[in-house]
Parts: sequence; structure tokens; C-alpha cells
Amino acid sequence: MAGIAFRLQKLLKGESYSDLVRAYLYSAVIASGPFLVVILTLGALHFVLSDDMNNEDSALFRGLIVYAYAFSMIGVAPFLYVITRYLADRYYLKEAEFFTPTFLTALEVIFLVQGIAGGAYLWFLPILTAVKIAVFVLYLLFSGIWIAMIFLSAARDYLWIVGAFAVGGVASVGIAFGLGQYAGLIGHMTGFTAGQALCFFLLTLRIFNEFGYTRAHDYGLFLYFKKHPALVVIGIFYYLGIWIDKALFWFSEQGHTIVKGLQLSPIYDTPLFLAYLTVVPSMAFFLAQMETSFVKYYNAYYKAVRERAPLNVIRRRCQAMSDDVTRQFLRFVVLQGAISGFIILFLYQIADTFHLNPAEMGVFRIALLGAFLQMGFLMVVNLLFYFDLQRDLAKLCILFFVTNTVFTAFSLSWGSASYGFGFASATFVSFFAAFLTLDKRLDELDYLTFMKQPIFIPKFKLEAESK
Amino acid sequence: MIDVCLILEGTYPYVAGGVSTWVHQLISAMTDIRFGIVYIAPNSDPTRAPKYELPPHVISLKEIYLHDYQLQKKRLREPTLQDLAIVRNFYLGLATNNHTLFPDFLALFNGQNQCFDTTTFFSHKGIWNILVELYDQTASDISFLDFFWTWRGTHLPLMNILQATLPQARIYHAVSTGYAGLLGAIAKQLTGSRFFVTEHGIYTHERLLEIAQANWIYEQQKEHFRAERDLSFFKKWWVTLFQVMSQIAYHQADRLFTLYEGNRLRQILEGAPTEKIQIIPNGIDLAGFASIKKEPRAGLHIGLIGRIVSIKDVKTFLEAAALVHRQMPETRFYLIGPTDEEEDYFEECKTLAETLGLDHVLSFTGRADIRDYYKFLHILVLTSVSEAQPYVILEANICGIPVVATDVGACREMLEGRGTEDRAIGPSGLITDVANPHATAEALLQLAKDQPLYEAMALAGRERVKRFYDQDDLLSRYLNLYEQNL
Repeated sequence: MAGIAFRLQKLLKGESYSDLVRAYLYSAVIASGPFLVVILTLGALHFVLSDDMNNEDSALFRGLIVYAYAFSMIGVAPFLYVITRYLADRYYLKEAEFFTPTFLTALEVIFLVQGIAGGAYLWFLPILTAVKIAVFVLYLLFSGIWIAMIFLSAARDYLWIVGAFAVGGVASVGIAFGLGQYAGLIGHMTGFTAGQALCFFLLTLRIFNEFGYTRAHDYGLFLYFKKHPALVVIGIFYYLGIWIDKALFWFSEQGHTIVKGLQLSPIYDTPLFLAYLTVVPSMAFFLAQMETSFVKYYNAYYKAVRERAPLNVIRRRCQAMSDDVTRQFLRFVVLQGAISGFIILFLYQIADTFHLNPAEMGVFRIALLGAFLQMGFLMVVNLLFYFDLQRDLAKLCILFFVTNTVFTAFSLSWGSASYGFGFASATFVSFFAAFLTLDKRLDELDYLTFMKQPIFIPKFKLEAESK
Repeated sequence: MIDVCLILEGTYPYVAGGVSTWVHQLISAMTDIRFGIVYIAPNSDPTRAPKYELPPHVISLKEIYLHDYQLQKKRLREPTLQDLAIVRNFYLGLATNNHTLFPDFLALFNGQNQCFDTTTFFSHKGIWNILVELYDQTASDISFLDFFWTWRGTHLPLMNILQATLPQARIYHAVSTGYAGLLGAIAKQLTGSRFFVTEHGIYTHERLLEIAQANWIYEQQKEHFRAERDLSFFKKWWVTLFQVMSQIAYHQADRLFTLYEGNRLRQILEGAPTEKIQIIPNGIDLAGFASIKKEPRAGLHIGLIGRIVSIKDVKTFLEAAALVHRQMPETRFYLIGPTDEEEDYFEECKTLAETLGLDHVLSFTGRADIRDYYKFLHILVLTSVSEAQPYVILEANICGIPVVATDVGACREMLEGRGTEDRAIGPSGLITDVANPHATAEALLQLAKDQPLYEAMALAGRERVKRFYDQDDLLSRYLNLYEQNL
């Protein structure tokens, strides 16, 4: 997590305006990268392909990609933060030679797990075998891409990630379009998969390039599952929380069956994906601004602790850090408030452009708020990671998952007027709880910094923190 | 049930030395009493073997390790605000030498009403608040990092002591203050049994010497940061810690014993109630030494008996020996005692002896039967920078060997006499300044050249030890004490 910040701070110090823009762009892509790429690719494909595909094929194509995207992410979720943490510790110890073997080992395990899960699902799906194979490969590629991204982020190689995504996205659209001319759905699917394969290939190439190849396996990672079980919980529930409201809609009466076992709910999905797009600018702003400005205060605080300052100096620096968090959050609220306000002002024009029906428009309006709050939640989560408050994070992610499940279930049973309110109230509760937690922890940070130091000799050798 | 539980810190039965010898004599002389031993060591060490064979009436041996931390799994009640107030007031009281709250403080760590163990004490928010309050009051411009770690470092071993479980006994007898004394005070509080302290060397004083030389304790001086005040903040802290532990032991003890007048005064300075203190010096087995047959050898033979360690200041002895050697080249010197305790120091001493050109006339005997040397030694030397009441003076004197000793511990009392009756016997050796090879050499030469003085001192030594340092006499005073309290 800390990795992003240092690089950005350096970037933001660059004088020229283009550097600044680039810094914001990077952070936007890294923070929401995969999501953006999928939405934009799907959107582009939608415009390009809608002519030469019948409605059924088009829906099947979109449904398969959304599923591959959602479930690959959920499948990788238990590994995500554990790997991030392991790499951060290794990176801190300047042991980058562990990256490639760890990458290969993680990839093997994830391909195995995802291969079994995805294969079993596709086996029973009543679609053409050729399409099954393409989707199966795509599913593994997505999983691989998420993993590769962690490795390159840990090494602060953002430019390459952005490049790989862009190339992969364009290739997906291009090849899908090209092959679709001749082979219809199978061509589209194979084309899209080929584009993502290129993306995965570029990311993997970079990993080998950057860290070299020393050996095929390293199992140190698995110790971290035992050492940081909370990180597994955080990953699982965070990503389940993100998808559970959509999944509930897919499999409710609002769900639209594409083929047996593959359901989407356009009335809910479309406005929600659109709403997520609206928070991308302010998220980029927040991440860039907060992680650069905040990290300065954060480092100053730990520097004071390390360099034997008296307690009142440490306290002052802690206060400065809290003040900065408050300041950045206020800016985020103002910026996102303005964006959301404009969108509501031009709601009808937007609805027109994206062919939203009145019901979808209602969901879109409340989803704007939900997406806003979810971003707030994500930001606090991000900050809590800086203080390694794993127990808090685990509790918050479970809370997010539970509230999103319960409230969405309620809103479903209450009828179309309340669609989206479940998601919005879940994100509200979670964001609020997260913010209170952060506030409390910042307030007692001195206590946590000192008193939570281990009393007994740690069992594992690798204890470096990314602080 | 154990009659007397001896609480020992880094001595009997695992480490040889004066205190251990005394303990062994004490136990061996009282075969009717069932002894238990609680041994406090820094760490567990499975390779360690006892240096003494425990007599059969020692019916239990328990070891407590200061620096081995174990995670307790006990479920404890949550500390209340009142508990925290006790902790707070206990620490605030220490600033004014007030430890009346010790029993209440102890109850939070040991017994039915326990609410803290090592883990909870070091992670509790309320304890943190107290720590910060104390910091703001006493140290607000001092490195907090070091403040915190010194707090942890000083309190971690205390946690093991506070939570220790002791065998049931009618009498707890700590043979030092420090952790042993504190443990005795705890035992007294928990059981209501009698509690005695015998202090051979004054614990706080010995620790003070160590701490003053310690370079592992952080000193802000190096950072050019108000050096004059902070110079010894953390060193003072360690010293204060040991003082507080001693004071708690002094106040909880029913009786205090020490070896000689100088120590009694120090105990009083450290806050011991005067009326509790009684002097019982160490004695030796007269019969055993009466049987030593002298086998005089030609020439002059001078010995230093003791472990080759820096506290004995062997280097001063070597330099004095060099001065004597220059005037009386035939003189032989013996360093009799184990050399493995501070191996670096021993190496330095060997090098120094060579440099001084003493290798032909001087020998390091290593561990040896000192009785063989009492048969022919003419003068015994003690150059220690710190001593309590060294046996070797008694042993040498009873064998008719005058002693040249530095003015530390009981040396002066032992050579010149304590009460008027004792003084009347006359001196049995010469007293010199600490770390002054010239003075030591001068005294040695004086004894070597003045035959009548030598004879008189040899005679006075035998007489004094027989009259005032008979082991049977002195141990029977402890036996009486035990019997009165059983």
C-alpha cells in the first residue's frame, strides 16, 4: 500500500504540469484500473459490436465477461493482501529476488484453485464448448492479471501497468471486432481473450525483466497466511462485499436469465457501473493528494518516534497527521459533491446518452451516493492499512459485507423504488464505522505505536514492516 | 511443609563464591530443618550443573527466570478504574519513597484478585496513560523511545517476580535484596510467613557500580542534547529501581542481617529501619583450619586468593607485585582462583603480568585447594574495589598469615577490630587505598622487612578469628532465629 505513495510524491514534485496530470492519471488507473478497463472495454465493444451481434449473443458475451471479472476477483481476494504484505516486507528488506519465484508459485496455486472452480462452473453452463474454452482461459487470465498487478505495484512500476492495460484493452476491442466479423460470438470471445492474454503477457514479461529469474518456487508466502490470517479475512469480505449486492440482484426476480446459471440484472448493474465511473476523478484526486501529502506527515511522525524525540514532539506530529487526514477528506467531499451535483443536474441528458429507463435512472441517482460512500470507505481502509490495523480492517470488511447483504435483501423485498438504497445505506454505515475507527485510532496512535510492540520474541524471521 | 525457604539470586547452588559458601555452611549446619531453595537466574540454562551437592534436608529447589517470558493463557478479570488508581498511586508514591501501597499493587498481579499478567500489563491503555503522566511529570524533554523501552526493560523481569508462585514455607529468608528481596517481600505478603533478609554485599551499591560502567544504557549526551541533565537519566532510573526493590524488602522484612558495620550504615542510608538490623559476620570452621600443618618455604610467598575478575582489581595486585619484585626479586606471587568467569579480563591480566616481567615469579594456579597454599604463604593480598566480608581474610588470619587489604567492605574491621574488645587484640594486617599499587607494595614491603610487626600481626589474626569469627558460634545465631520463628 505504501508503495504507491512514495512514487507519487516524487511525481508530484516534478515541476511541469504534464507530470502532475500523469501522476493523477496513474493513481486513477491503479486504484480503479481493472474496473475501468473492463467497463471501458465493454462499453467500447458495446458500441462497436452491437450492430453485428444479435441481442442474445451480445447479452451472453457481456454476462460471461462480467462473471469472469467478478468471480476471478473474488477468487483471488483471499491471496490479495497477503501477497501485498509479503512483497512489501520483502521489498523493504531489498530482497527482490524473491518476487519471480513467489509470483510463479502464487500463480500456480491460483490457477489451480480458479481452474477447478471456473471449470466446474463452465462444465454445466449450456453454451458452446469453444466459447467455454475461451471464457475458461479468460477467467485464468483475469486471475493472473490481478496477481501480476500486485507484483508490479509493489515495485512501483505503474507506467507499465497502465501501458499493459491500455494495450490489452485496445487489443481486446480490436481483435474481438476483427474475429467477430468471421466467427460471431466465438470470434468475439476469443478476440477479447487474446487481448487480455497480451496484457497478461506484457505484465509477466515485465516481472521477469524487472526481477530476473532465479528459481521456480518460493513458499515463504504461505507462512504469511498463518502469520496474518486477518489479511485473508479482509480480502475475502472486502471483495464479497463489493459484489454481493449485484449478485443478489442477479439471482432475484429482477434477474434476467441469459442462459441457465448465468443471470444479470441490467436494471441494477448498468446504473451502478455508471455511478462507479463518476467517482473515478475524485478517487484519483484523493489518492494522489492524500497519499502524497499524508505520507509526508506519516513519515515525519515515525521519524520523530525513531529519532528519540520527546513525547510532545511526537504528539504534535500525530496531530498534524490527523489534521491532514481531515483536510483531505473535506476536499474529497467538496470535489465529489460538486461532481455528483453536476451529474444530478444533467441527469436527463446522461440518461438519454446511456439509454437509461426511468427505473434505472432512479437506481442511478441513489447509486451515485452509494459509490461516493464506497470510495470514502475504500480510502479509510487504505489509511488503516498504513497503521497495520488488521483486526479493525477485518471487522470493517465483514461489516461491509453483512450490511450490504442484509440491506440489499431488504431493498429487494421492498420493491423497485428502494433499489439501490440497500447498497447506499450499507456503504453509509460502513464508511461511518470506518471513519470513526480511523478517528479513534489516530487519537490513540501513540499508545498503539508503543504499547502494541511485541513483548515476546516473534516467531517468524521476516518481521520488516513497510513503515 | 518447608521450614525455611532460602531465596537466592545468582548464587547457591549454581555459582561458587562467598555467599554460596555461606549458604552451604548454613544449610549443612542445620540438618533438622527442612530447607527449600528458590533460585533466581537471568535465563534458563539446561547445561548448568550445581556447584554444590544439596544435602538431603533441602527438600525443594525451584528456579525462577527473570528474562524468560511465557505467554499466559489464564483468563483474568478486566482491571477496574480502582485497580489503575492503585497502580498510579503506587508509582507516584515511589517518588517520595512511599511504598505503603505495595501490598495492594502486588494483589493485582498475584493471587485471587489478579487482573494483570505480563501481556495485559504491557498493552493496557490505562497503564499507558499512567506511563505518559509519569513521563510528562518527570522526563518531558527526554527521548520517549528510550523512556518507553527502559520502562519495558526494567519491568519485564519484575513481571516474572510479581507473578511467581513460591513453595509454602514458615520462614522466607532472602540472601540479598534485589529480586530475591522483592520475592521474599511478595512471599510474606501472600502467605503471612516470617521474612528475613541477610545482605552480604549491599545490592544497590553493587548494582550502582555496574550501572555506572554500563554502556548499554542510553545516554542522551551523545546526541548533544542537554547533556548535563540527561547524562544519567536512564542510569538513575535503573539505580532507583534497585533502590525501590531494596526498600520494599527492608520494610517488609521482619529482621535484617548484615555482615559488618559499614554495611549496616549503608542499609540505613538506603532506608532500612535501624531497629531491624543486626550484624552477624561470616565465620569459618576453626577445627578445619587448625588441622593445617604449616610447611614454611624459603623466600617470600605472596598470594591473592579469589576469582580472577575485574571487581578484585587483579591488575593493581600485578602492578604492586612488580614494585615488590624490583626490590625483592626472589619473591614468588600466586593468583589462586578460577579464571573462567571473565575470560577477557584474565587474558588481559596474563598479558599485563608478562609486560611487567613477572612471568618467572608469578603463577595463575586456576581453581585449586587453597589449604595447600595456606601452608606456606607469608602474606595474603586483597586489592578488590568492592568486598563484603571476605572469608580469605579469616582463613589467612587463622593460619597466622597477615593480610594486606584495600579499605573496602569489612576489611578494616576484620584486620583492626570492631568493638573495643576486638580492637584490643591489635591489627592483623595492613589497610591500603583502593587501586593504589604503590600503597599495596609499600605495605607488603613493610610486612616483609619488619619481622616483629609480622609476628605480632600473625598472632593477633589467630586470636581475633578464634574469638569473634567462629562459624559454629555465628551459625547458631541463625539457628536460634529459625527455631524461635518455627
